[in-house]
Amino acid sequence: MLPVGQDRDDDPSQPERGRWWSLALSAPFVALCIAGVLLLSLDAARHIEALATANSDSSQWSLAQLEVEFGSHQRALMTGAPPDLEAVRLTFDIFYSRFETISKGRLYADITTSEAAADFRAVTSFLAGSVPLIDGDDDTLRAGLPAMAARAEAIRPALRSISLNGVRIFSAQADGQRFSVLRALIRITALTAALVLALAIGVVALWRLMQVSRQEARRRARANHRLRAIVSTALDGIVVTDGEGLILEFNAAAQRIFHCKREDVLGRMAERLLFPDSVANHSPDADQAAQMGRRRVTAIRADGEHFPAELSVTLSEEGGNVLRVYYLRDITRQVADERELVAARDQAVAGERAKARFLAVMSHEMRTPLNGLIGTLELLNDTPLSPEQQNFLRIVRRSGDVLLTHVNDVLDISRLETGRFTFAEDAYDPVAVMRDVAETLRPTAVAGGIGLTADSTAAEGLHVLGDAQRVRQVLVNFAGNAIKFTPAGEVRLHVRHDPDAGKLILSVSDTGIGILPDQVERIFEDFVTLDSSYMRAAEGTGLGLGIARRLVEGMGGHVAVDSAPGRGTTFTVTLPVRPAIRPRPPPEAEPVAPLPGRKVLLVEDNAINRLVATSMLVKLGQEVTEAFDGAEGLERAEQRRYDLILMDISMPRLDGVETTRRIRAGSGPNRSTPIVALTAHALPEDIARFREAGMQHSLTKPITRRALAMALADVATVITPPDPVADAPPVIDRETLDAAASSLGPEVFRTLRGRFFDEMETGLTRLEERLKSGGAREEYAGDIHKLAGSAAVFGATALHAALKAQETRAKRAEEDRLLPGHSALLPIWAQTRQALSAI
Amino acid sequence: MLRHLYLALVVLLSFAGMAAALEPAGPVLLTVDGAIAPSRDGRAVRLDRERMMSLGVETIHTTTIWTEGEQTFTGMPLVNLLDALGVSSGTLKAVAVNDYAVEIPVTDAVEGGPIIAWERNGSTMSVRDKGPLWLVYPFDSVPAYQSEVIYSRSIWQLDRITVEP
Repeated sequence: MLPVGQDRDDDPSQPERGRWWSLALSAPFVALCIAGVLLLSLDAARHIEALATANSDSSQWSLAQLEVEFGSHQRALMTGAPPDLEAVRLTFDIFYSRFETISKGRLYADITTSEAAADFRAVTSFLAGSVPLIDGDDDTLRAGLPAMAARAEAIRPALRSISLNGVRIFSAQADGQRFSVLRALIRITALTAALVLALAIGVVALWRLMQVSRQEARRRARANHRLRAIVSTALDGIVVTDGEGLILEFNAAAQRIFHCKREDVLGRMAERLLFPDSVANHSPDADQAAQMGRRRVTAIRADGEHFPAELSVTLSEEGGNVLRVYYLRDITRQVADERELVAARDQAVAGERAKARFLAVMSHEMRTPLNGLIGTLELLNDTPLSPEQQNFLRIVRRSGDVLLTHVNDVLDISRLETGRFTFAEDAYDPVAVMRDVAETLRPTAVAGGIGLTADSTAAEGLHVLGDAQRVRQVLVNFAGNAIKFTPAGEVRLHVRHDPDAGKLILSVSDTGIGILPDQVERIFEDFVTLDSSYMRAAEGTGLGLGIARRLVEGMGGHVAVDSAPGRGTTFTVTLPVRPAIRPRPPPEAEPVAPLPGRKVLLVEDNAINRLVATSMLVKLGQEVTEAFDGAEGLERAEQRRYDLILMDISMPRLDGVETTRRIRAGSGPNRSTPIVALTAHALPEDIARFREAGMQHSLTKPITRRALAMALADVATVITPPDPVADAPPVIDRETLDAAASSLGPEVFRTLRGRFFDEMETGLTRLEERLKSGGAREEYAGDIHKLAGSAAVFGATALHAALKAQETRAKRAEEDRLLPGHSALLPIWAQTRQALSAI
Repeated sequence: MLRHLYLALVVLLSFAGMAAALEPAGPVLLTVDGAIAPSRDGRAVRLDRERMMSLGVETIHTTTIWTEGEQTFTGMPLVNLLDALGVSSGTLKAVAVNDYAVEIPVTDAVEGGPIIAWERNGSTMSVRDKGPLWLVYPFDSVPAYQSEVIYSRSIWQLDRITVEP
């Protein structure tokens, strides 16, 4: 049976009610009753005792007898001749004895009081007077008889008086006694009544108690029945054991689960019978197990089949004995389902991975030939072509660009989806970016007969921090979309800057076909083109808007759409921006400066890419050495020193990363030569890997001449690895310089500038000599520090930065980098001098 | 117990002797008649002091409601007398010289119970002194005897007992 006592707390008010009665019958009350009864008994006994202890004898009778016996004596005295002397003597003796009894007896003490004393004295003197005659001889007695008779007659009144007095006193005593008995009886009655009342209360209390306990019993029986019903109809198997683990209860569900009969398992060890391993065993762990909630265990059926089960154990107590209750559920099916789900999920994950891998591979595999294609087209453009050929070439180049855009779109999607997208944080001019976008798209707009305007309310020369490339991509997407869906009318680009809120608001409005409100959200879905009936002028994957919105959200901004069918659509992009403190000169604005000829090692396994890159480098006036894979690249790097190494990443035998690592780890002449990665992969973690291997930069394929030129220029200015975060400083900070110039006045400024030039020229030459001759590094560092200070005054930011870097190197005693560092100062100084001289 | 048997034997022998010499030597103090030993054939037993003393002497110290101070009574236990007479049930009708009469159940005759006293405070009792015999219960040593009924049975100036079945 299950512990029934457990449900006693389901109605706590019940025992509360019973308590009053049990209190009424509690020890003090019972003791009080017993004391009352005892008191009553004692009192009654005392009174009964008082009545039982006779103290009156037949006193009245004795008194009467006194006169009777005196009468007998008188009669004997007066009996004529011959007098009966024996009778006289006997009656005297009897009277004497009676009187003695009355006058001396304890009973008659009350009547021998002072008022009766005279009567007693009279009788006593009569007796005393008669005794000599009675005890004397017969003759004397006979002679004295008349006198005795006379004296006897004389004391008659005295005797009567004694008698009457006695009657009076005894009556009074009897009255008193009756009264005291009455009082005792009243008391007894009162006490009896009290006792009866107490008993009545007790009876009522007992009756109530009985009612309560009967109710309790009924309630328990119901609870028990309920409990049994719950246990027996429960879908979970319930097994109850005692503290030793012996089975006490085994419900129907448990019988079904374990395939065994209740009678067969009762009294057997639950653990050994039902669970093959000791997980659920009632070792000391079992008590801990009780607190573990639901667990999965392996259970065993009667036929020996193992099956997974969900088990929870609770402990309870029944009369001081520990009870364990096992709740058990057969989860064979659930486990099977879960396995299936897990397998399905694993498959899905594997599929997802395969897709990601596929995309990565595709990007590489598509962009590599594209690289070749676009590069070769660029080269082809430089060859003499007929106008027709030039036209074909333009078409092919345009197709190539479109294809590249599509490949990039797909790549962007996958990167944005996986969160592997990083945004640059550079200073840029958003207005310029917008104008650039407008210019780029103008041909398309013109071709479609649409007006395209770009205006701005932002301050002229505004620069903010952000990823210009991505902002451009967003604008191109929205503007391109607008042009596409505007059959006639106008597309307007607009930039607004809210410096207080730190927001940049870019909007693209058109007067096109518009979008139905319920379809606004759909346009951002991937691969969606809303109006397929509309003849689309431009090709598109349907990814553009989705990418644009993802990019905006990735940059922390949001896109709003305001549209009415037939009237047009406005996309508003709001981006959080921080103002740039030092605007970087836009690279586009800077023409590719003629570069000094340098020795470049190109390591690239793809023949086309190699050809393209070499041609571009040669055109840029560089001296190129080719290596067709990593191993050969390593070999070439051992042979002579290069100014720059361009390293492809994916190569057979030895890949670019490993090749770089070996060059850096070796002792060859190119140990500290800048190495630039050429890659189709441009994931952030890849770039980190390249950097870790010892590469300063990476160029993403397809490589353009401009990109190559910039890489070469960077190498020219800073040979040491640049700080990845810091922007390359401008040669001259005009603000600082202008401030200095205006405060000094033109005359003084010119004089000081001349002195600065001299200081730098002689200083750098002298210091180089000292460095080569192995002079003290601290001194060198100190002199470089002074030169840096001078450079700062004239706003020569680049020079100042380079000098500070060199100072750091000197202080750190980076011997092998000191001399190249110093040499690198010279071209920067040359640039700075040129720039300063121009003012 | 042995003593009782012995006493019974002595009494029987003496009563057997009484058949020959019926009258006691001294003055007769007590006459017993009625349903006594069948061998007596309805004849009364007359006892003098010597006879009574032969049935055993006992002394009781007690106060009574009729006397002053503690009294010393000497006499023959009633039970001894009845044993000797072969009386085991019934009622005794005791009669005094002054014609006082009272009925005493035989069950009163117990060991440690009443005696038929002939001496009070070392003196033989005269009629004047509630003699010649006084049936005295040991009132002090047995409080149950302090009752009206027992007081009424404590007959003095006793001289005759009739045994009623």
